[in-house]
Parts: sequence; structure tokens; C-alpha cells
Amino acid sequence: MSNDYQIDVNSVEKEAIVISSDRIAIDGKEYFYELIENNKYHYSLRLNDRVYEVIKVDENKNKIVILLNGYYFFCNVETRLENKASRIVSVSEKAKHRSEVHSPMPGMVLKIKKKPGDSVDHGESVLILEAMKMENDIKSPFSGFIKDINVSEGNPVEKGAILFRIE
Amino acid sequence: MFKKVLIFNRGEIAVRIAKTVNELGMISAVLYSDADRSALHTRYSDESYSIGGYYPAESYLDVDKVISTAKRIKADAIHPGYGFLSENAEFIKAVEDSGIAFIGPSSKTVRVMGKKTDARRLMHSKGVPIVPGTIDPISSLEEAKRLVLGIGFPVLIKASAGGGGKGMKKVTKMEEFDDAFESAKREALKAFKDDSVFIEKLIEDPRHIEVQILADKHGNYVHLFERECSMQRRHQKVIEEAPSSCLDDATRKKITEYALLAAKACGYYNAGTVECLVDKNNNIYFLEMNTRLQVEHPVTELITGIDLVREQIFIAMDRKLELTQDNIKLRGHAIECRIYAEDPDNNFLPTTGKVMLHRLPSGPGLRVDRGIDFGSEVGIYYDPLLTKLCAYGKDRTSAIERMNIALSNYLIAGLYTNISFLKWIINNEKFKKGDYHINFIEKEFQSLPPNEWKKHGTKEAELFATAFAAIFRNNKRTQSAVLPVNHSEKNNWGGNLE
Repeated sequence: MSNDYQIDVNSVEKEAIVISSDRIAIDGKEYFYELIENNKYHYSLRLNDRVYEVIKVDENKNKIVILLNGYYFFCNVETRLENKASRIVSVSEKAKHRSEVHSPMPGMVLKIKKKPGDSVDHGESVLILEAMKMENDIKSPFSGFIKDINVSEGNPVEKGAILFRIE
Repeated sequence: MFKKVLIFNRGEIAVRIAKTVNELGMISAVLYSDADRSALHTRYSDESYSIGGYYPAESYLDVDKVISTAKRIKADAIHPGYGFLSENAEFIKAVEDSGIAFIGPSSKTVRVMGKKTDARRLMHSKGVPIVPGTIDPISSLEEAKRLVLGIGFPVLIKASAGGGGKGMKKVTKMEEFDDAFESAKREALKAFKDDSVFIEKLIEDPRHIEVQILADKHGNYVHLFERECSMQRRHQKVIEEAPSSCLDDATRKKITEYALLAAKACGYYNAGTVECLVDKNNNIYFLEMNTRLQVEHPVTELITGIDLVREQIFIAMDRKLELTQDNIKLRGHAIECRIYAEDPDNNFLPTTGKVMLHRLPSGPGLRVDRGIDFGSEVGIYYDPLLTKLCAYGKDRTSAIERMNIALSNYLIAGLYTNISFLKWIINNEKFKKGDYHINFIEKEFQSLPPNEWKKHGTKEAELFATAFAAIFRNNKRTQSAVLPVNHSEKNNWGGNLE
């Protein structure tokens, strides 16, 4: 079984090879390790002569959220094979996503200031989203034309829903 | 002497008040909503009574329920904490009429200071400097446009009845004014049922400095120095400290004098806070008065050694202040970090979850005021403030060092918090120098590309995180190659992962 991992740690690419039950290589450097599970959330991790307490905040398939020394680390751990596959997918996903503006929060569309075909400047307000009693301007991430608007005034939107597209 | 004090609040502030009430040998009673059945404030008080409901409107905002319960349980006094009904003049009037003592100022004072335009007019007439702008509330756009020309851009439009950033809009040029004015009015109407607004000149990159005052019902007034509250995000404070690192002695003298003048002008008694803006040239402008205990009161307690809740209770018992201005001394430096259940990467939206592990930092000079423990459900119903972490030291540098270590040792699992965002601020060079103003987070943090802020000073932690992630996944894969995977165990409590 492959023990060679590509890890995205808060958008930094790292490489780790779990050599044995007490040796690990990270970005080419080898360490002695010891991982003790104190309970389902609390771990002690030793690398050579240093120990850190690690809190496993959340976990889902190959994603792990860790709290360590006051910092959260969002880790995506992939084997070499998984990493190759996800790279191919992400190139085409990125091209599609570039033009979409998603709702950053659940809320209600209060006002739409533009219509399909209108030109927008970078940072120009396209619509107002009301959430938690505050009005939030949703701005265009770059200059271009409004391709389409997927929401309408007075209607609720979920977090992550596509609000409009720009081309 | 009060025999029983009803604390009409929840979370960390209810717990903190209960501690002083118990220390004074009084019985502490609290109310709890259906969402708060196992909340920490029910465990720290002597008595707790159900008021039902989940949303604040059905529970902690229900005036009739609290007064009838207070009478039924024979409470001598009500402490409102902060938020909820603490600054609601109608509520305070109802308490006054019921014959129960209110631990706070009079309803009359709260009414005057609660209406921003009335407070501005009063302060202006007593010689307390206010931010230049309109005194009277405005509701027509034509009038507003005429007045704004006299004030000059940039300006802030604010709700007369406002607070918490609602109904507040910044306008830099006339073309944006119509939209912003209408938007501010809509927000104000929704939040305060009053769409009148006023216009203030925008002070560029000011500091937010506030003065703690105490006054009894016998005309004695003292101040407990200032708090620096400039570290804000959308008008919500994130980190506070006392004393302020930017005030010289002359400005400190001036701002505390203004605060006492403001308190006297409205016949204030009990604990109150006078909020001011201070510009780059040390000009002071009155902003508003908070007629209650502040969230950030612990930093004042740490540098003065005075328990503000204890003073509040004694004042409500009609006692004279034992403190005099001369025996209130400022000693050392204190910093407070507000630990919130919120996601800095997603517009600081609230996160939810059940606390599965909670270990508080301890050590010299630390104080923790918390509203959660194991098993606490952090939901959508209430404010996402979990804990106030305070560090005290002989000077600002030592307080910052203690805070940095304390944040590293705060362990919590089950939900995502802003701890690493607080670490980022505490380790920021400008913050360390004390060089910041109310737009710091917007300018220094929100302008960073995504994830960039997480890379600062975390090289070793990043190495350990990498090792943990790899070993953890490797162990799981090795185990699942032998054992059948239990799918029901997967992701049964998370939810903050995309």
C-alpha cells in the first residue's frame, strides 16, 4: 500500500512519507515520531525532541481540521494517485468557477442593481444581500459583463448558491 | 442588603455576575430558555428557572416573563448584564414600577442616552465635544443632501436609535449618497422601528477609547481610567486593552474629565461607559454612552483591582461609594481577546457545534470568563461569544506575551472558532507597537489574499500539522485495510467542512 502523501495545509503544498510506525519524512527530511491518542479529539504528537498537543476539530474523508498551538490547519491529505486524479478535475473546475459569484451567507436578495448584459467594474456593487439584519453589497470580483443573474429580489438564497455570472 | 439577585442574562456574563453575587453571600438566580437547559449559567447559580422558548424574543427579551418570575421567586434586585434588555428604558421602567431594585442606571437616563440625537444635543450643550454633524434627526433625503454639503464628505449616516453598526453607512461622494441614505433608513426601521437618522463627519482612522465611570445615588462620581477598543470588525470589538497605549497623560486627563462631565450631565448612577473617538491629533469626540456593564469590563478590573459588579450591587442598594478618585490606581496592563464561534475565512459568519473538549489556559496573570463547557451546544439563537480570555502583566509587552501563550493553550473541539485570527492580531507588528485604529482589521486583514494570514509565524506548527494529517490518514487506511469500515461513525458531528 502506498504511504506517500500530498498534503494541502492551509493552501501550502507539503509532501509526507510515513516510512514506518515511528519514522516519517516531511518534504524530504526524516523525523522520529510518536502519536498518542488521549481521546477522540486530543492527541500528543512527538517529532524528535518536541511534543505538541493536537486537537482534531473536524474530519471528513481525507479532510482534517486541526487546532495546534492556537492555529487552525485545514488539511487535505491525498495519496499520490488521488492527488493526480484531483489535479485533472480541478483544472476544469477552476475554469468553470472563475466566472461564478456565490452567496457568502444565507440571506435575502434585497435589491438587484444590474441586469444581464450590463458592464461591471471590478469591485462594483451588483446586488444587495440582507443577512442578519445587515445589508451587504455583493461586488463583482472583476470587470466584465453580467452573463446572467440567478436570483430575484425578495427571495431567500442559501450559502454557496450562484448569485450571478460574469464574462 | 439584597437577599436574592435575579440575573437576567445568559452565557459568560451571567456566570461572571453569579460569581460576585455568591461571593457577597446573596442568592444568585438565573432564567434559562429551552435552548439553554444545560447552559453553564444554570450550573453556576444557586437557583435557575425556565422561561421557555428558543429565540431571544420568546425568552431573554420577554419583559412580562422576567418581572413575573422575579416577583414569584422573591428577588430583591435584577441585574440585566449586557445586551438583551439591559439598555431598554421601557424594561427598566417596568422593573422600577414593580418595586424590585434595578442594578443599573435609571430608566430616565437610559432613555436620554439611548437616543443618539438626544445624547448628542445634551453633550453639546454641556461642553462635551461631539463629532461634527447634524444634531436633529433627519428623515427627508432633500434635507439630508442639503446638510451633508455643509458637513463635507466623507460622512457616516447613523440611526438615531441605533447601535451595533445597524443602520450605519459610510458615504464618500454625493453619487453614493441617495442609495446609502435609503439603505440606512431601511436597516434602522427594521432594527429599531424608527427610521430617523443623523449625519456625522467621518473621522479618518480614529481610535475608539472609552472611559469607565462609577456613580452612586448620592452624587459621587469616579472614573476608572480608559479602555482601548479600536480593534474592531464592523463595529464589533474583538480585542480590548487597558490602559490605551496611545494616550499621553494630558489627553488621559482630558478624556476622563469629559467622561465625568457626560455622566453628570445625564444624572447618571451605577456603572457606565463613555465612548469616544480620538483622532491622530488627540482631539476627543463623544460618541455615545453605554448605560450598562460592558463586555470588556474585566480589563478595567485587572488594572484597578476593583470588582465592578460588586460596586454595581452596592450602588443599587443605595450605598455611598467607598472609592474616591485618589485611591483608584492604575497598575500594569491588561488585554482581552473575545473568543467567538465564527469563521474568519467566511466573512466571520457564526459557526455552530457541540463542545466536545474544552481546556482553558492557566498561569500567572490570566483570567478566563466563559459561558461554555463540555457538552454545551453552540447554536444559532444567541451571540457567538464563547469566552473572554484576559491576560495581565506589569506592562503591555508582558501582557501580550502572556496572551500569545494563553491562546496557544486554549483547546476546544467540536466547533470552529476565531482563535487563530486572534493569534494573527496578537503577533502583528503594528499591534505589538500599539499602532492601530478602528479600521485596522479592514485594512490589514481583509485586504490579504485568502489563507495568506494563516502562514505567518506558523512554520513549526505547520510541520506538526502535516505530520499529524499524514500519520492519522495512514493509520486509518492501514486499519481499514484490515477492519471493515464503520460508515455510521463517519462525520456524525462535524459540519463545518465543505
